[in-house]
Amino acid sequence: MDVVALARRFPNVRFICGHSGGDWELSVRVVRSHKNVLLEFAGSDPHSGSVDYPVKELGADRIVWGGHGPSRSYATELGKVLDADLARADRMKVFGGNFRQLAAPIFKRKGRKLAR
Amino acid sequence: MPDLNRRQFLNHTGLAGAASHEVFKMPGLRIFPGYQPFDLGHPDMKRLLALTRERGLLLQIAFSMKDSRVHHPAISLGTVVAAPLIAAMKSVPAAKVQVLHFAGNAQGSDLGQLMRETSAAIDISRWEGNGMVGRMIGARPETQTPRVPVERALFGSHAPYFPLETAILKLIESPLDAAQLHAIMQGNARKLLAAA
Repeated sequence: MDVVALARRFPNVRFICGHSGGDWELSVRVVRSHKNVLLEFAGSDPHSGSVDYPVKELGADRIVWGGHGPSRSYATELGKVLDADLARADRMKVFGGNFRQLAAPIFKRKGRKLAR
Repeated sequence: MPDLNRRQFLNHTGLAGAASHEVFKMPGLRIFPGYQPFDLGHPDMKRLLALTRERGLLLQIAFSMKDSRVHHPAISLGTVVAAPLIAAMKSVPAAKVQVLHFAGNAQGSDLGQLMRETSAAIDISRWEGNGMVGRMIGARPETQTPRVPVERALFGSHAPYFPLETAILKLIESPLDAAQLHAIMQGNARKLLAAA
C-alpha cells in the first residue's frame, strides 16, 4: 500500500514493487490499476504460477526479474520464469528487457550503450 | 494442537500407512505434522517409527510445505521442529526416515543435531541460497565435516507446487562432481528404498 501511495503522489515516476511486497497474490491486486508500478517477484518460494498470474493481470511489460542472491538460489528465481507459460518475447522482457528499458535513460546520461 | 489419543494418532498415521502398504503396495508413508492434528512430540511417535520399521516402510516427514507469509490467514500452522523426532529416532535407530521440504536455517542446530544424531535422509527441495547444495554437502572449514553428508542428500523438487526446473537448476548451480550428482539424483534414493 505504501508503494501505491507513492505511485499516486508521483504519477510520472515509475516504481518497482520489490519482492512482490512479500505476498505476490495480494500485491498484484494492489498495484494492478497503477500503471507506473512494475512488479519484481524475487525473495519468495517458487510457487508454480507466481509469474503467470502477474503477467496475466499486469501484462508482461510490467514484470522485472530479480535474483535475490546470495540468500536465494538463482535457480529459484530462474525457475519461476522458466515455469511460466510465456511466449519467448515476453519471457525475455521479464528476464531483462523491461529493466533495460527502465534503466535506459540512466545509462544514456552516463554515456553507456545498452545491449538490446 | 489437539491432544490425540493413541487410537486417533494411529488412525492419522499408522492405519493410513498399513493401507498404503497392504492395498496400494507403497514403499513408504508420508506424514504432514504441520497440517495433521499432531506434532512430532506425540508420545506415540516412537510407536509409529517402530511400526514402519517392522513393515520395512520408509517414513517421510514433511516439514515446511510453503512460506508462512503466503499461508491463508484462516489457516494456522505451527512450525515443525526436529528435536522431538531426534529423541524418538534414538529409540528406533533402524527406522528409515526422510525429512521433506526442510526450510529451516541451514546452519541451525536443529538440522545439525538431526544429521549428527540420527540416520535421517533429507531432500534438497527447499534448500535456498546461491550454491546451497554444494555448501550443504561440502566440508565446513571449522569442523571439516559437511552439514549434510552427501550420501543422505536426496533430490526433491516439491513439484507440482514448485517448478521442477528450480530443483534441477539447483544441481547445476553448485560445482558438484559426477559421483555427487549421481548420488543425489538417484543413487541415495535407490539405497534408501532398498534398505527400507
